[in-house]
Amino acid sequence: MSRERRKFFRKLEKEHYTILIPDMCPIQIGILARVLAKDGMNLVVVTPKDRGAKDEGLASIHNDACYPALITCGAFVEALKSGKYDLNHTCVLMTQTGGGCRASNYIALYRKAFEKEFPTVPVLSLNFSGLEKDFSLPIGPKRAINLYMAVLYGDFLMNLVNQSRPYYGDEKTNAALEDCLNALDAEIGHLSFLKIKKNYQMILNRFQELEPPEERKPRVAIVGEIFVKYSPYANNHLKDFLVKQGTEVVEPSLNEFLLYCIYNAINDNRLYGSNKGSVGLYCFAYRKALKLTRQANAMLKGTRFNPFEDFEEIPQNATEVISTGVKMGEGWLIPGEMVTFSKHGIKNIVVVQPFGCLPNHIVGKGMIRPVKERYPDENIVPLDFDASSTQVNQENRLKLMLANIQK
Amino acid sequence: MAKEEGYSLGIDVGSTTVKAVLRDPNGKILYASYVRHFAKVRETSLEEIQKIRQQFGDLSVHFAFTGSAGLGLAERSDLPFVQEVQAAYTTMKRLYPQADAAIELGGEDAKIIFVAGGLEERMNGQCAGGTGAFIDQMATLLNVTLPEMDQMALKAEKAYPIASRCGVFAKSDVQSLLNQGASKEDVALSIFYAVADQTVAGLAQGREIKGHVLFLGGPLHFLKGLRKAFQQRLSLDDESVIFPEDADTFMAKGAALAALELPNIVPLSCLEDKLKNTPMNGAVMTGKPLFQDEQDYQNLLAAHKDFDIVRGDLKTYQGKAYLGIDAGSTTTKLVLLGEHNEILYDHYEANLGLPIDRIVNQLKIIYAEKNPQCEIVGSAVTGYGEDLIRTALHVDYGMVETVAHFQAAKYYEPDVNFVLDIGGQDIKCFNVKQGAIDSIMLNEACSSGCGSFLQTFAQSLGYDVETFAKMAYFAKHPVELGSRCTVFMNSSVKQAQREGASIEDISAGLCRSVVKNALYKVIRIHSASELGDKIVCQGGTFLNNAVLRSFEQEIGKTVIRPSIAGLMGAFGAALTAKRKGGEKGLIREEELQNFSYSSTHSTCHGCGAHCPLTFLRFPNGRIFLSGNKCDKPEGKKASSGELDIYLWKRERLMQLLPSPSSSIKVGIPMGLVMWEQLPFWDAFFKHLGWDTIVSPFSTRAMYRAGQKTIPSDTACYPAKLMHGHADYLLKQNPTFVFYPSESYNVNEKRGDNHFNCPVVAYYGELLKKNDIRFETTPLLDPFVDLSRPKKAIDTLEKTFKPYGVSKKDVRNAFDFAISMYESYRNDTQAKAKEIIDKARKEHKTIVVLAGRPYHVDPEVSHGIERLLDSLGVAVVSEDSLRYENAPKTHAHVLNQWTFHARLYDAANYVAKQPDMELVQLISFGCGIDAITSDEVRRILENQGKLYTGIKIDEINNLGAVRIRLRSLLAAVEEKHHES
Repeated sequence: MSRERRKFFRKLEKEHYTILIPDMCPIQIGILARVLAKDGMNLVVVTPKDRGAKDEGLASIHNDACYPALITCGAFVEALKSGKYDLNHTCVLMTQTGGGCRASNYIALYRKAFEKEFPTVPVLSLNFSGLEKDFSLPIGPKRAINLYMAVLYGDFLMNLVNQSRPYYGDEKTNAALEDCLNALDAEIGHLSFLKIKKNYQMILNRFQELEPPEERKPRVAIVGEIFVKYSPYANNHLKDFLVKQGTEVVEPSLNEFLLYCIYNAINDNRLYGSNKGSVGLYCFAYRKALKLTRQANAMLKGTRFNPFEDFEEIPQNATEVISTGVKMGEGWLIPGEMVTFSKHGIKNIVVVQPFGCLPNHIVGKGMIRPVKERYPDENIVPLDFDASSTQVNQENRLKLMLANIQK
Repeated sequence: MAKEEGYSLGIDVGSTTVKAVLRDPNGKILYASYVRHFAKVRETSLEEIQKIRQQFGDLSVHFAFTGSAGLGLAERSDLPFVQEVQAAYTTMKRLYPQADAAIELGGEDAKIIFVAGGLEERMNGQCAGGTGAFIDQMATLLNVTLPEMDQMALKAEKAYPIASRCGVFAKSDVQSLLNQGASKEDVALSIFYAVADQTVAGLAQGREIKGHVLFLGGPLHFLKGLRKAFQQRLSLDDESVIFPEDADTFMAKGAALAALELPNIVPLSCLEDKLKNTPMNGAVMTGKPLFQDEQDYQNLLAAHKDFDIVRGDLKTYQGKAYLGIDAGSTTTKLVLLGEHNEILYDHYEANLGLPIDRIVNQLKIIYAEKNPQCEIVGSAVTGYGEDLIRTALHVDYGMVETVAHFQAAKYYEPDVNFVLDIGGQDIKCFNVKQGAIDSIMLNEACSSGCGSFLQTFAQSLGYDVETFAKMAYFAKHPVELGSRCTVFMNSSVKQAQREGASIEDISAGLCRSVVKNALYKVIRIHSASELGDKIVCQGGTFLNNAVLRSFEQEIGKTVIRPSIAGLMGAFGAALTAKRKGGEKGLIREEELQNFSYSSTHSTCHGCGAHCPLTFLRFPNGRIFLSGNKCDKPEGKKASSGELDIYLWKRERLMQLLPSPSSSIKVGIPMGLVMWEQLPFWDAFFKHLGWDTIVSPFSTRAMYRAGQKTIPSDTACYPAKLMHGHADYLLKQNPTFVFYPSESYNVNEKRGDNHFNCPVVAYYGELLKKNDIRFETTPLLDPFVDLSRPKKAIDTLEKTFKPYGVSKKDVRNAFDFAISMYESYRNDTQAKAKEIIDKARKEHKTIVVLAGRPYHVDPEVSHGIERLLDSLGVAVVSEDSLRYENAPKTHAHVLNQWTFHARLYDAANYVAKQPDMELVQLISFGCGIDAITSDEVRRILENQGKLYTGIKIDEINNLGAVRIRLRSLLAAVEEKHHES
């Protein structure tokens, strides 16, 4: 650790910095924030309410940059301008995958945007690729495990919530969610937080208190670019819209994306002989993570809740249409998920992407045709998102997809 | 069965029209109407229902809304809604069971339904311009009504290629065609072809449209020329096309049919009540009003009154006079100036056809009215039409627009530090540092938030532009519409309307979005202080007080808006003519009386570009030629091109190794990464003893041939061209087609990583799965990293083993290929050095035309390098510079792409060379260039250099590029004079 970095992080913890993070997977990020809060870090999830953040984004970032960069930056700028935060003791945190798509450049874009107006606000990176050595959140093994647990619990919860909201409404579902979050919160920082089976069971029990529905609604899966897929602000509350239209939403887990990243690191070694030093560690992490993931799925066996798709199946299915060497952005994961859903009887898929998203030209829109060739009954609609794209256009296209469900 | 049905009413509320259909229980259509709603969707629908009730009594009906604007209306009024594609399908099944496919063009949506071979319904993505609204815009541009445009198209003799991807692009192509003297008839037809192309490419996405095709929607119903265009583009005979009598109300009929399946029956009066009580105020974002009250407005007028100008009287003025002409893209401006800078005569008018006719008329007026003692001693012309007017009318001087504008702005404020000009089609702005133009920014093809944008909107809402502008002044809650291109803006306006915003609020919102577009998209400011304190705002659009006010509000400063804001180019030209003294060259009155000219068209066969040429012949024997991209057809000694590395690279890349005779023929698409690695792969395969078939350089025709398999029409042009190359190769019967998947490019160790962009890296994977012919002819796209030979050789061996090669063969071929690639790279760098040395000897400016290797493709660069060459500049490329052991460029962004690292290095190098400039070619739709363009600009500007970025796409019009390049060269020259 460089001296500069040590100094900075000492300051960060001592002086009670507020760390702003974007609102991506509300449940998962919520738990993550609570984990870091136990370490003395005050994480605040920035959740914009109206167009304001989009306009700030348009004003502060090159408008041809991708939509997620634009709105996350806009949300940060809006928050920093709000006067709620002491600009001398606030920083922002963003994830970085280090992949070949421009998403790895968000951090640089934020810095440029902040340069003049908020010179005292540092931009930190959350990554596992060794990028931004001086400005990334220090992650030791203990913190890494706790953060990963947060993702797993969050995924588990998200899945149950998705399968409850269409049947029990917001009130009952949110109550169950809150109860589980509070129970988990009490365990953070203790060893019991890591007792995964026990916690999964606790969550499952709470949701099983809800009466089973009489009839299953048609299921609509959402796949696509990770930020637009998960952030309700970014996708104009797509999930709520679909639920209101009488469907059940199926979302892949956030963990799936993490496993996808690890898978690619291992695959790089296979294809190019790179990552020689670290491939062993990646393989170890992959096996461990897969085991934990399968535990959650096993837990749901015999209940009325559907588990996530088994991860190993996804790259395998992907190869029906694309090589798993395609690893930028969401790469083979999107077609893999499309094929997997098709195989498992989920007949409706919304593919979301930021307008002009580079990898999605290939793996999103580019793969719809081959997937449909193999699964002609599949009802797939691509949707573009953009700071200026209007809800009415998107909803009309969704309506067309929904109209095709009934047939 | 029909007897059991009740009455049913379907109302289709589209983006521009309301269509209502009433059906009786026997299926007879009692009422069908098609009316424009001018944004008043609720009122218009209500009126239709009232009309029906008055005619047929208070019937009880099955009811459904359909259409894009019907969705919101249905929700708010709690009435049933049927999705419009569904509605169309319902009707189609019932009335045209023989149809295999249907195409529907609406105001802003385009849809396609395939029936034969599996039902599929698709709508256009959000950035497809080829719809009704687009045709409306084009008619506005041609200044004709839609029926007139249709008539014109039917009389056309030829069609020009027009960019069909986006309305804004097409617009600038159309504009330049008109300015070059193409007949309006031909342009009208070209527009219809562009719409057909866009629809076929954007919607069919590889699925063939065949069998019986049903054509639906207003535009296809009313426009015969458009029908013809579709029929030709789809190669359908007369038996295969179905144009229903009622195509305009087809969806409404579908809604009426679909409504029958809904259980509820409502009396018409009840529908009326529901609509009357529909709450319309939703969650629209609004900003503060432009003016608090009348007084506030008067204050603004008073504040800008100081910038009026003295006027003289043409009839009485005696002495020397100076003429300035600004032959702009959409308007012609003219100023006659006296000795004391008094304006003797001025004129501002929209171009309807050739600007030259307007100017001749104006000159006739001036000659007739002026005092005999007044003599026009000097004249200057600027603008798009500069060359044409100079040739035709013997104008003394020609000048770049930016320079003319700067001269004019200086007249008002000698210490001006920022000039912003928003005209009909262009936004131009520049900083002034130490009395010289510093950085010039022009709007890109796809952000025309300019004057014509407001005009088109005003017209589409049923107002003339002046009235529309005035409505904005006292709007209570101007809507926030964002700052995107016209196509996006259309749907934002639609949404605002749906939320119940008034026309006044929309007008104010649009004015504000023009300002925001200029500030945040074109100038890209972070804070108002970057503009300085002495700002001159000009251009016709600023005469709109709502725009002026929005601008002052947005930056929180007062600016100078001269009363002749719209004439500044002409004024600057006149001032320049005066300063230079004049050469009395201008055409005399006698000559003018008999002035006429003729135009002829032909195609240039000087090179592969086949430019369409237009010749204008003038009485003085002069000929003006347009449409050409180089000097060749002008009979001038063609430039040898020896100072143009783009030309050299094309030749060098195509110097393939001799073909071995072999039964294995490898098809190589000459696109994307091949523009870098062809020397490698050609050598690799030939060393294996196989022959290669390399597709030729791209052409528009090739693009069209592959267009139908493009799955994502927002990808960059170089990527989309790949489909044409694939098509070409597949027709040559290769053994297989090869395009490597390279997540990583060659590692030149000049960045933090050596990625390719996702599109370059994986386009093979996309091609393979989107052209059905690759199921029989394989496309091999192994994942290799050429900088990691060991694994790459393994992978290549595995890939080609079925064709009988050993590992040793592959290894030897690989080593040989690497040496060939290296010699190509060395040759390129040596050539650049040669060009630079030669240019330096001749004291020529050297421009690094920096993009990506595949920008060298003539169909991608559009001859920009030829243009530079004709401006007397030497051209080298970003990959041809050699830095020896210079340290990596420190970029403020993640420098992780091989091709893009070269841009940063080139910028950093150029910044240190006094006789070199950098012009960046930016692919439209390239997200990575959003990052690189900002960074290259930063590197250059931090070291006191000018940045020039040119966005390229399918677009063919070099008019704007020319202005930009000439502005750059003029600014450079001025800077050299200063220092």
